[in-house]
Amino acid sequence: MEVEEWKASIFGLPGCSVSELLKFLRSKIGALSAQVDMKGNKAFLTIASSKQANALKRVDGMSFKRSKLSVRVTGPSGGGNSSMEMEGSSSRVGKGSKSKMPFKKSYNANEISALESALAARYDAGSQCLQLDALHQVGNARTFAPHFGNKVFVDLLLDCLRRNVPDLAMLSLQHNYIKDLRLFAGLGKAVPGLKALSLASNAVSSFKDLDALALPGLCIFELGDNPVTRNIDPVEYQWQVLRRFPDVVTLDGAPTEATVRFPLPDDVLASVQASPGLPATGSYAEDGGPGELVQAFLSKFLAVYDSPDRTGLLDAYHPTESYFSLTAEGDIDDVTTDAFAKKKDRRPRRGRKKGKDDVADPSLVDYYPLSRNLLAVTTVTERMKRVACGNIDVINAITHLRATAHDTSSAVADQVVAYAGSVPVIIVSLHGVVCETADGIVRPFDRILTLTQAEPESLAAAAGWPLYVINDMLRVRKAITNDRQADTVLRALSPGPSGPSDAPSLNPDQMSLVRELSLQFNFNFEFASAVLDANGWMPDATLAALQEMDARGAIPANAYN
Amino acid sequence: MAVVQGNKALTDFTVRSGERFVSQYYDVLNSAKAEMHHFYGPAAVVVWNGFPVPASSLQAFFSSSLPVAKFSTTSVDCQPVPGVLPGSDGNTAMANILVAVAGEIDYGKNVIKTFSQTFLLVQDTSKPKAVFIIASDTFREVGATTE
Repeated sequence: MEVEEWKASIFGLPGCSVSELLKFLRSKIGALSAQVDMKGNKAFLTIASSKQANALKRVDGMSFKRSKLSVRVTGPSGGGNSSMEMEGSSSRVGKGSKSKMPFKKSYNANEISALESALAARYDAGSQCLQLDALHQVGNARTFAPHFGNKVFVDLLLDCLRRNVPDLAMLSLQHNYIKDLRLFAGLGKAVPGLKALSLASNAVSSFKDLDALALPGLCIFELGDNPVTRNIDPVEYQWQVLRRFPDVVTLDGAPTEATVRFPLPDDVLASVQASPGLPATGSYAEDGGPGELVQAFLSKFLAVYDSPDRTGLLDAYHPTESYFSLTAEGDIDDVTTDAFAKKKDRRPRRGRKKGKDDVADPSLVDYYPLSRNLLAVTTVTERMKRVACGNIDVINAITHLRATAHDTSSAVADQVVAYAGSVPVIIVSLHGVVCETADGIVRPFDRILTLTQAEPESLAAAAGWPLYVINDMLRVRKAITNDRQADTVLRALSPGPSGPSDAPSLNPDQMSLVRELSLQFNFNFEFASAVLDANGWMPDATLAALQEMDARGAIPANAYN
Repeated sequence: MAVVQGNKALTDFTVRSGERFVSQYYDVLNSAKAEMHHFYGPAAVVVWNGFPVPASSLQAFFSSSLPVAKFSTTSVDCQPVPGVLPGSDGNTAMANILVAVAGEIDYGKNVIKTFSQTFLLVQDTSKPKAVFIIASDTFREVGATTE
């Protein structure tokens, strides 16, 4: 088997070394093994693999160190820049000298059958592919005098196609000195199902000629190595082809890319196109913080809270400096902060307290007299009334609330440590769902607790509470009445309360990448970090992988927030 | 609930300061995001949706990372947080303020999410007058309103 040798010439090189050039080429096309001969701003490559040589053609027009490269690849015997691989392809046949075929004015039966047998020889029924490259070099060519400038011949050819291979899928007409495509106007009628057409290495000089071809189903097309495509801007080339054949996905062996680009900085587009929403992740707890202690406290706290006797919580609250108040959703119509802005009169402008008749959730009505929403409750007396101070008062208040069963598995607890003066406090923001056991009502709730360390001699410690409560603010929200609401609420809560060991072990740069990716596509934390991780935390590779997954429809629905 | 035994004046002061804070915070958040970082103390602990935001990056966070959205508040509650617990030296210092806010974020395109945000406001000891800064801010989106 003869060794193929492909040659490539690259013009327009910037100053660079051979290894820099190879590194660049490899970054664009993958593997490449070639002998490189560099002369000034030109390089001549000898490549053994036709696959690599074909790939190299894609580099034509690319920029390397701000110089636009011009790449020409020739096959072993001097064939042109075509890459269509078809059955029995003999595109290595050179262009040779111009065809000296005569113009025949008419064809007799013998000549026609000679043409037809030539066609039959080059037809592969399996792939429905007809390979008519360099037709003039066929043995008995003189008999049917193929000349693609001759209307009589072309009409005959099209007629033969129509009669013999009307279901033709692929047709190659390379190296046929084809100049005037208007002669091929009947191609669409002869072989309407044509999917692939190669007109590479011909003499087509204008895109306008393509208008004559009516091939609605065309997906694969080649027009490389024609006067019209020599040195053409790749994007313009694609546009010219796509406007006539919108379904073409492969052009000269390369996939058609999306479209032109615009001079916008990348982050502008990302921020504008972001789906609404902030990225979210699971419960937050500082590394090395009191996470475990807090978890232990919360488990015990909620267990007692859910038990029939809440007085067990008495010692969990500081005897004198503890506070409890609650707010209930829907106690007031839509109020924006404007209502408060400058007015001395602090009555909410649009607020209106709700009675039993006009609430969306009647189960909340009992909470309204206790609800200490400052936007709704404006008198000092009322505000004082609705906050409990000191543990006895607090226990009194909470024992009057409905019996509950908390769902701890779906709760999210963010904990931070801050300093209130000289006292370090742990602020826990707990968000979850709770069942009011009397009626089976399930509602979401938010509970803010500030906790501080219990001194060893304190009553709290004696009662087995590692921490005790200073502030307790509860918010009860509208009951969940159907699966859809449940889903919305539970999706907003990431699964499981996580202690420090569950905290994602990503460094700040990785977190920042996760956040950006989430922001851009509205992915949740888990999916964003998984896909980044799978792609080595490289943004370009990740985006490419996502595009590919998207094209396959492989991005799961639960990837999103 | 029973008659309050706590320090009435203290609680009232706390509450009114908290209200004023909330109205200013969300007004600025809606119209002048780039200035939000002024509310925060230099050692503020800020966690939004589980992601910590270092105090030094707050300006960038509010200016660039926050999506375009309109915040509105539906509920505000405040409680005092004692600065020094009595029993240590008997004095209760100027109380800190714990603020719990519930509200909605309108992202446009018919997407409205409910959020819950908790602030601890402490006195900024570097300033002579009673200036309070955010010592901690925990924010979380907790649901979406049904369309």
